[in-house]
Amino acid sequence: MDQLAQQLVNGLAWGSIYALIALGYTMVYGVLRLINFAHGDVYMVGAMSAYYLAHGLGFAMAPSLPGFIIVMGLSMVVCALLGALIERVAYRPLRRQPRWAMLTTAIGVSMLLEYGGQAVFGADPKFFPQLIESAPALRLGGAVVTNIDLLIFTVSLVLMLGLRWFVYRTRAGMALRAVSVNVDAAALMGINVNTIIAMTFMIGSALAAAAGAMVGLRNPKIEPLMGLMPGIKAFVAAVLGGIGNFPGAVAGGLLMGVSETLVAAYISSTYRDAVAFVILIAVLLVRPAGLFGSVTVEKV
Amino acid sequence: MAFLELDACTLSFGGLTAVRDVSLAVDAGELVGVIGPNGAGKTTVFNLITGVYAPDRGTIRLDGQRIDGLPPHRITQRGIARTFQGIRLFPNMSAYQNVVVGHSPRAGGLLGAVLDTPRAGDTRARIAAECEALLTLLDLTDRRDDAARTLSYGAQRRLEIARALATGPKVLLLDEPAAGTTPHEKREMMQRIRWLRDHFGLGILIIEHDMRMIMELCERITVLDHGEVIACGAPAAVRANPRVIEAYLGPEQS
Amino acid sequence: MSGLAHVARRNAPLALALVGLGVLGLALGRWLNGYYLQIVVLIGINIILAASLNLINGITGQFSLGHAGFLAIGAYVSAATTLGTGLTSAAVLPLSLLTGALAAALAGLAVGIPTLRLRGDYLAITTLGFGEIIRVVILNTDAVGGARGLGGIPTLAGFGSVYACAALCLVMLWRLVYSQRGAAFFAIREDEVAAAAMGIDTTRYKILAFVIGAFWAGLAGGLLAHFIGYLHTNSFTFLRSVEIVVMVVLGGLGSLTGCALAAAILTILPELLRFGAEYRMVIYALLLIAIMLIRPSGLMGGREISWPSWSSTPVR
Repeated sequence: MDQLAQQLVNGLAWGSIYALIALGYTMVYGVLRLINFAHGDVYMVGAMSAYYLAHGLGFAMAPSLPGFIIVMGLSMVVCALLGALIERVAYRPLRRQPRWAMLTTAIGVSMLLEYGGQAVFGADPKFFPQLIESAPALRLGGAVVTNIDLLIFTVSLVLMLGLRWFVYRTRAGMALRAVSVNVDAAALMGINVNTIIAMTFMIGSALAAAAGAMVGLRNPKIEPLMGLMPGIKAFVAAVLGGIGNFPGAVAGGLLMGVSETLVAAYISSTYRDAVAFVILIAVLLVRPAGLFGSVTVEKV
Repeated sequence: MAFLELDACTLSFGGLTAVRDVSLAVDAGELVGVIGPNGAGKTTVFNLITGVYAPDRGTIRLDGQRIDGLPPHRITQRGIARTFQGIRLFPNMSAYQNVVVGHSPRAGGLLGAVLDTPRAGDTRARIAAECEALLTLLDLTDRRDDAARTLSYGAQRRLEIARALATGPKVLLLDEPAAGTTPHEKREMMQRIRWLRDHFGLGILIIEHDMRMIMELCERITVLDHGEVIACGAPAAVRANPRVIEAYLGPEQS
Repeated sequence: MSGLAHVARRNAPLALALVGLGVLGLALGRWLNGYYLQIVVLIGINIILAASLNLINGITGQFSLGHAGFLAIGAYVSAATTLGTGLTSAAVLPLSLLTGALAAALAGLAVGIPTLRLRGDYLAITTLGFGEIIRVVILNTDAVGGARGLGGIPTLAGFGSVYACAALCLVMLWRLVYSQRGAAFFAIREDEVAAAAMGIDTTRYKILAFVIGAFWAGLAGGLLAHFIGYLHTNSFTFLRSVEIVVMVVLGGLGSLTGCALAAAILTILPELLRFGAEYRMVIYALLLIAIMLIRPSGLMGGREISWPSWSSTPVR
């Protein structure tokens, strides 16, 4: 029973990470109907830039919580800019092209980040500085929740609530929702679609960066290909929750994290990665709209 | 028993009833019009006939056999062809290729094509000739090799008809065939439709908004409003029908 | 003239070409340096892969990202067949290739049927998932080597067999899709609803595209296995699928001659870029992005190089 509770805590920690990344997928899909293959690699860049920032700004030598927050914040800025750049250069020119064109480009950008990352950062794994030393913080029903896990839960919650406030309580957020529903109508209403889409990419990328920085803290071994599997899993999580649906992305992320942790713990760790694909195929075959998504009908 | 018969068909989408108790009949060689204000359910009726939707209640019969519930490609193979309200051609295929697609279910088999058997060659020649004939019929020969998306609006509408005819139908459903065309093109379209009826003996069902065209062309007219049939009969009778007038112009203001 | 004689006569040029290729292969084997010969043979295998994927992606419009899975199944099943029989003569090659291809075709069926309702992005991701699942299953199958790989496969395939298969593949696909009935494949890509309205059983054609595409990919896998002599699942990752997709996109979706040309170019390119080892993939990625931004319709723009048709009249 203790082990179950512990695994649940682990699962929820990873789930929060997946949820943050999944939100990025779902936001971009909502406004562009594009699966941003490169999103998982933005998460990797978040971890990498946090690493370099920590060393460069001296926080690696003087570990502290505020230090980590600053490093994470700055890496979020870096990735927000990266996201905007990618959108501007690689996706915007293809908006009027058939869907497979943007999909193919996204694959190209993903490969570019991965192999470019290997060339620039070196293919060997790096070790993220211990900006916060892991220590038990809570005991819940036989499980130990470390301070790092607590940080992950807290930061994720804050970011998600912040996003929710932004989307439902600001004009920019309303514009975002409008663009998600009907791009052309939104443009006709005077919304600057280009700005909104760029903003969407920036927010999604920032969330991914936060996830990357926190993962660096929790599982310090980082390398240029670390975004591959979490990217796919987060995407599956977004689909599971209903692509385009924000609470769905969060729910999907948490479910994904918990399921794969439980499978790894109780069935076999070699099948951990396979869980994502099994869930994906199950969802797409049974209910493609996902848990919270709405089914759209094509007008003939 | 008419060749194509809808009997009390009803279709709802969630809480919205798109068509209710709609009955309709088209016989071989008949020209029947379907009119009504926007949103009356005209295209929905077409979609029911062609199998895009299956009615919740009611039946649809072709030559006495039920076709409601069959998938669209089966219904087309039974002899019903259609054009679409918003033109749905194969944009990157040439006019000729669009018409060939209409023939494809009745073309030679794939295995024969791969092995290049003599029978495949004969069928190919015959169908090629038929495609050329259809293109000539609808004045598209000079645009034969042009991609469908490059054709003018009127040419696209004609190509849709040519493609529908290629399936060898007994009943043809035309969804606003003259929409967005010039008066000259409309007159040509009317002549063309009559000619198709005379030459092929087709039953033709037309949705149109151009009243003059419908009144001149059709022998019978069915009027839909809010998913229900509010009138059905000869053009003169329908034109004078107070319910029809009310549906189009609104209730009388006193 | 009897039907059979007619078919034989119509296909005589093809048969002649195949014999010619065999002779050429023997000659090349004698004169050509092993390294160059390997590249030429790999071009042939990639042509089959690109053409078979083109049928699914470019012509029928089903964006599949799992082609490496079919390649893997063909490779492993054919290798297992040869090793299973214990024979090392070239006579066993056709049997092994066929079993590999049929196994892959079955996988194509297994992937094609459930994915029928899916469109665009969802289809892409699902096929990616299937490809990965296939790879992971093979990786965990110790009977075919598992993580250590499968070695000791008799190297029975060479220039002759590979290019004979490539020629057969291209001719078969050409006749298939440019026949009057084959126009249905293109129609499904263009507008599936309209295609169904024209009497086309879109389900059947989509599945057929997957099965035929998978068959040829599996055949290519068998050729690969019997040319290299060693297999490891690392060669059949999502990246491999992407490489094949790049060939199809570069050639122009839907163009058989285009993707064959692109296959040749993209097989040679990495060899030319050998100097910048770690930048090779970066350049590859940039190339992919550049193609999409500059000319998404690819080299041939979806059209074929027109040559006097000596077999069937393409649908024009």
